[in-house]
Amino acid sequence: MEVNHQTAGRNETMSVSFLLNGEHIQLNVSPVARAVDLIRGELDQTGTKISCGIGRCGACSILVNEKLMVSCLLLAYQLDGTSVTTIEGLSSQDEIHPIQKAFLEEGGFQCGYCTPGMVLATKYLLDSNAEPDQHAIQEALSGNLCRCTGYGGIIRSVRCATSNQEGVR
Amino acid sequence: MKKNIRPDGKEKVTGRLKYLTDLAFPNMLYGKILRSPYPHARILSISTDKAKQLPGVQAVITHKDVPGLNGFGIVRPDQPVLCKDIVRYVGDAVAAVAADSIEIASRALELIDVQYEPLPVLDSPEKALEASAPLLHPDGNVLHRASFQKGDIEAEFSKCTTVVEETYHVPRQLHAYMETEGGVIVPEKGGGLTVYVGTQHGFKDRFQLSRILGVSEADIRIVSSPMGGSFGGKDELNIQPYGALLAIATGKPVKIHQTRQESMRSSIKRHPMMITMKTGVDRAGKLRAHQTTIVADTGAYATLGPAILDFAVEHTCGPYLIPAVKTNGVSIFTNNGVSGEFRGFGGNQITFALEGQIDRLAAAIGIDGIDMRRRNIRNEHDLGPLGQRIAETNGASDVLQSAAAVYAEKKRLLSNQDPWKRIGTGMAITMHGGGLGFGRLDPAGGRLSLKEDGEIEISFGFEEAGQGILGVIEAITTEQLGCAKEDISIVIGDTSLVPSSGSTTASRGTSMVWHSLQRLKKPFLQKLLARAAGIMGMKEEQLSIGPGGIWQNGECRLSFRELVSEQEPIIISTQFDFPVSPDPIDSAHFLYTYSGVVAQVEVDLLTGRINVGELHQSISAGPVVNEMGYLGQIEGGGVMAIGYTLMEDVIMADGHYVTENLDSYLIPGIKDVPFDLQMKAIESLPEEDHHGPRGVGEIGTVAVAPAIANAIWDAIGLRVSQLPVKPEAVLKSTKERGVLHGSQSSNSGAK
Amino acid sequence: MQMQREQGVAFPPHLISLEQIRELTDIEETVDGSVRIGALTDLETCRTHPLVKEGCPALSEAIGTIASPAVRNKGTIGGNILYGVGDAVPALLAMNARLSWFCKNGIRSEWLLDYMSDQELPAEGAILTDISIPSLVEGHCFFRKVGRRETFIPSVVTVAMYVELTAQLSIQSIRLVAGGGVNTPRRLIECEKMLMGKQLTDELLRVLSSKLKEESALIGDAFTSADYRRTVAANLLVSELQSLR
Repeated sequence: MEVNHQTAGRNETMSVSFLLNGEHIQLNVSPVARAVDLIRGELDQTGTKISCGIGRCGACSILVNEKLMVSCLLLAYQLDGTSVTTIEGLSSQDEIHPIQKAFLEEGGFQCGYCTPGMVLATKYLLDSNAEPDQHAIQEALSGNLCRCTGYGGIIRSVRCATSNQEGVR
Repeated sequence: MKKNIRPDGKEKVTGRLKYLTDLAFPNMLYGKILRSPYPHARILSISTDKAKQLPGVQAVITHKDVPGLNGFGIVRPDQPVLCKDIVRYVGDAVAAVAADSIEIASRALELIDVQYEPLPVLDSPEKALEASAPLLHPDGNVLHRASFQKGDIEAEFSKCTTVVEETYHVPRQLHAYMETEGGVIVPEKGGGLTVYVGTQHGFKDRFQLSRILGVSEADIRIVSSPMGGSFGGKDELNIQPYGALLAIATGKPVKIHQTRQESMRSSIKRHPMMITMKTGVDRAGKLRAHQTTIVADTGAYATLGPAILDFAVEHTCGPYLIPAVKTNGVSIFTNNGVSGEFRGFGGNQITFALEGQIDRLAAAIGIDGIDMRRRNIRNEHDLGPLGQRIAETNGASDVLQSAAAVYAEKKRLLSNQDPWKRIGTGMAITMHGGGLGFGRLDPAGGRLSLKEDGEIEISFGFEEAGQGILGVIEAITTEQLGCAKEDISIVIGDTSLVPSSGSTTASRGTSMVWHSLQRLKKPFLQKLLARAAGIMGMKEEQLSIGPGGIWQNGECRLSFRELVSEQEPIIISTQFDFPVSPDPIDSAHFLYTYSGVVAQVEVDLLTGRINVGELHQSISAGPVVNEMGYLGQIEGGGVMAIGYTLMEDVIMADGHYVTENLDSYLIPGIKDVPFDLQMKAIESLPEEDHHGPRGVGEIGTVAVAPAIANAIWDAIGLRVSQLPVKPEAVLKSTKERGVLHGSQSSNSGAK
Repeated sequence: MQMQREQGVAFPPHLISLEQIRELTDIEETVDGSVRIGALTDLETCRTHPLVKEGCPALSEAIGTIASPAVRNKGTIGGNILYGVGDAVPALLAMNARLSWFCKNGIRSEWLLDYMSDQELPAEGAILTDISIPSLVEGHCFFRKVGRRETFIPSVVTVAMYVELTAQLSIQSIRLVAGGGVNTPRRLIECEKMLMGKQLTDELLRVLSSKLKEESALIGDAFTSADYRRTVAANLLVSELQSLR
């Protein structure tokens, strides 16, 4: 029952290049390496979390070409030629993204472990739907589990982010 | 003091916060733990030779490599760190490996050859109590018995006009913290070990690890925050011993981060219990006799099992006054994983049964549940459930009154258009003890100091698991001292830097921070003012503390920085015990919190599925320290309890886990919970109360299940006695009682 | 595959990526009015595409119940079909979809119904290239999934139906499908036969209910029993037919 993240005895690698939060990345990866391990490990972007490993919690969500995906079900090579945004890419040292600000001010987190995924899922929602209703919010966050907040704070955050974004426009 | 942003918030929403499982160190190795494939077996032999030969493997350890005590456990160290001759559950560790990569470590585990002789599997308390059952521990298969008795139970039953008896079954719940157990254990250059692994009680880990490693506590530093959730699940040791042993064996940092499946297999769970209650009322609707037996499945090892059973026994009659009570509880060893500490601590199980009894009795005598509760509720000056004096508040009747009003309102607004749905409303109340209880070591403490850079440092031995203790510390400290949040720095979760504050558990954090500040602030402020007075050549009475420093006549005259003196540092510490009842009754609690829950459910008659549309919690726990933190605890606790009620169950078959990951073990998603959770905080305390705000870490989880059960009864007339409520049971019941048929003919769902 | 890897099953020795073949990710309306979906079209594109959303809303709905938005952004419609118990399959069966395969000796086409009966590839090494859904303007389509949670959950029961009624409310054409969990979604042919040409009377629906339970033959698991699944499948299909009266 132990996890074998790479098929033992294989050393072949392949070259991938992609944009990570706007920065060009080129490296060699094992063809069976998971995207999440590449991001958290070699690239040391630990804002992307790992929890279930089978795409059933959303903690490892990232944006690939602006689409929400779970990086535990993606292989590293599948990032080739894409533009990847992780949670680290949403804010600069001085300025945080309006969605992050909303999560901060509305208590959209407690332990914070699901938060990067939640923030990115919210971004993916608001990118295509500026005024999501209850159904749209529930649908957009349905793949992201949170054990702390009961989703109340998260829902308030998404609503607040909606009005924050309006302010930005 | 209202909508405070948490101090750890910005780092969390930006993903910049380094959790302990995010850490990496130079030359770091990766550890993996080999756990038993059998729920119960004798170990015949362990061979690690092949694993050791695998390139990239740096160390393989077994029981032979444990220099100190080969055991751990908060109450008693009966769980082997590495099993030598017997394994008692499928999570029991037999060996561990440190290697250059996770892949190599995993491969090495496969190369460790352990020969077992399977033994009979005790997969239920009933089996474990059979005369022929093998003994799992030297003292037998009973971990603990607890009982309570008052009044003449038979005499009181004879005065009852109605008696209800029911057996309730509650499931094994997984904490399902999003961050699984893990971290890095680092051997330090000058000797000693730093353990970067989340826990709820760093000093307790240090003690347990020193016993295992055979080194002095002073040589171990525990860094235990932040954590991606714990809920009681990380209070006991988990991977720390293996990481520590491997780090010592290799002289290198060792990282272990369990996968979800490894976590599911090895972690503790909430105790499944079978609770039988026989409860009687007299003609006036007064409870007279209440007899309870509790059988808890504590799994393979003790951990906090005894205390949890004690807690359940204490809370058997909840906030009700009953002249005769007889409770017998027993906690049984089995080969079903390990049960241990979990938010609510036995209260959730017993409250589900108790409130079920109250509702059944009310229906049996033809009064509504709220009326039934009013007739029997405790008042401010009544003794606690074990006959002990408790901190007096009106919490019980306050939450009942609040919940009654909410209940009436929800009932009034009820509407249903769908002929295949039924809507029902239910309520329940509870009281819940905080702290560890009388006779348990429950020390707390904190420290205030003026640092060289002029920051006021407040430090506690607590851990931040997401519950918001940092926000609580910030709010209480700034309020009590009168300074701004920019003036203070908070240090927690590092045994080398903080005083011992006891465990971050039992809803005690908020209380302990407040009590500490009560003790620290006067001497600390006096020293600051005295020094300021000296510098400014003024009288202390003319000065006060404010944002930024020392204030006089509405202006800040002197910064905190200017008060710093290298010769005479200002440091104030305090040590005290969590307040307990003056009555020496073992495990009895003194500070209680109260909740009144109203739930509204929609039952789908075609599928038997239940949707909780509304959840309203009225909470009485003293003043709110941090509004967002408080609300989050209650909402989050409520949803965790919705999961407990409707879907969560760690299913085991023959001692093996059937639910191995979050695809089969289900926790509520956003669509499974009310979109608008509601909460009312009742902050009032009697004027003479001097215990301040109580913790609310657990109370939000306790009375939700019975409120939902009550709502299901209201909707379709089904009495729930088993959790989680299965749609299958709902469907069967509606069919048997013709609910579905009725709907088809009348085509009207509104009740 | 990642799921199996977490459970300890090693990856196959070679993976071949087809992701760059554009023709496999198209959605278009063909001359006969049917909708052709490339097998590698991701589920979310499928779900939201106007041709699917308006032309086959039950398919759009079914896809919306699969996993989560993030997973649907990567998972493909072809993958869902080849998985064998994918939740898009019942809807596609109800719509009488056809599959096209790229084989050594050319393109082969077959009914999804035929493929699902044994789930054998039409030829060794055949690659699913596209799915065609005939125009469904006449009738009423229905899909419903029940899981142990509201969403983001494997199915316990899935049902789908396509039905055409005459003006007198007798059944002119019907396809009934049930599946869920490990149960391969399948057409309930006997029940369909029984309904053909009949009026939807209470009596007929009562008989249908027990016949559905029998013919669906759904099996249970550690979480839900066979009886529960069969009852729910029957309840959902019967109540839907009832609502059409």
